[in-house]
Amino acid sequence: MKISPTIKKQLKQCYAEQVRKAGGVIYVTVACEFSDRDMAEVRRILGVDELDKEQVHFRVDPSLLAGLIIQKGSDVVDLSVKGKLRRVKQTLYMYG
Amino acid sequence: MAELGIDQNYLIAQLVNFAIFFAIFKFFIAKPLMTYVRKQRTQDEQRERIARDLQKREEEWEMEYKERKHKAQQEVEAVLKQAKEDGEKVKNTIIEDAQKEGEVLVAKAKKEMERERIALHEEMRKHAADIAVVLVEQAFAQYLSADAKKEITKRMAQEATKRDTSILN
Repeated sequence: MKISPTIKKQLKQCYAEQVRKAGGVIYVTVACEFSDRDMAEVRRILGVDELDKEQVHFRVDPSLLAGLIIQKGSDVVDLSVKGKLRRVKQTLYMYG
Repeated sequence: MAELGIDQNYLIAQLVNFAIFFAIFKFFIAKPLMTYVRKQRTQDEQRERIARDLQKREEEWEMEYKERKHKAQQEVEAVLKQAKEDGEKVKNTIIEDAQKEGEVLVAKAKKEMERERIALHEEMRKHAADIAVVLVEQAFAQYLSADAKKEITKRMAQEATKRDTSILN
């Protein structure tokens, strides 16, 4: 199903508004320094390009190796290579 | 008599003399002697009887002694046999208990060894997993360029929006 760009834009505006109302700040941790263009692309991909820069913070943690960690409040989504390797290790522990 | 050369008076005197001698001998020597001999014989008989009694009693005692000895020997043998049997039973029981205890110890040791083997295996598996992950991490750290990292980051972000964006809402 394809969502029309208008509806998509409206949805983005809607939850950007919600984020603003909730005062939530999104922290995106990446493995290396990102240029403004790269950060803008990531914001776009994540669908938070409508938010202010203060509401989406980029941080660098080289130990992640690659990938990113998104954190908002107490919610964390780990999409880093380090996290994936950790999960692989857990699987190996459990099933060998 | 005279013609034969025998003096009659002398003969009579001899006879009287003999009679007197006989009487004296009989009353004063033979009688006490006979009494003494009879007494001695009676005593000898008594002694013999006593000796026979003693002999008989001794034989009886001997028999009784032998019988008692035999009986005692039998009792001793029975007691020894019983003791031997009891000892054998005790020995068997001890051996059986020791065997059981040994089997329990062996089973316990086997169980312990199996547990340790499993624990060691588990530990080795974890170490292997740790080493593998560390190697992969080091390889990534060494060979991933900044551009590759950015590319991976963007792909992960796309994947995140496909899977779960509830955190961003």
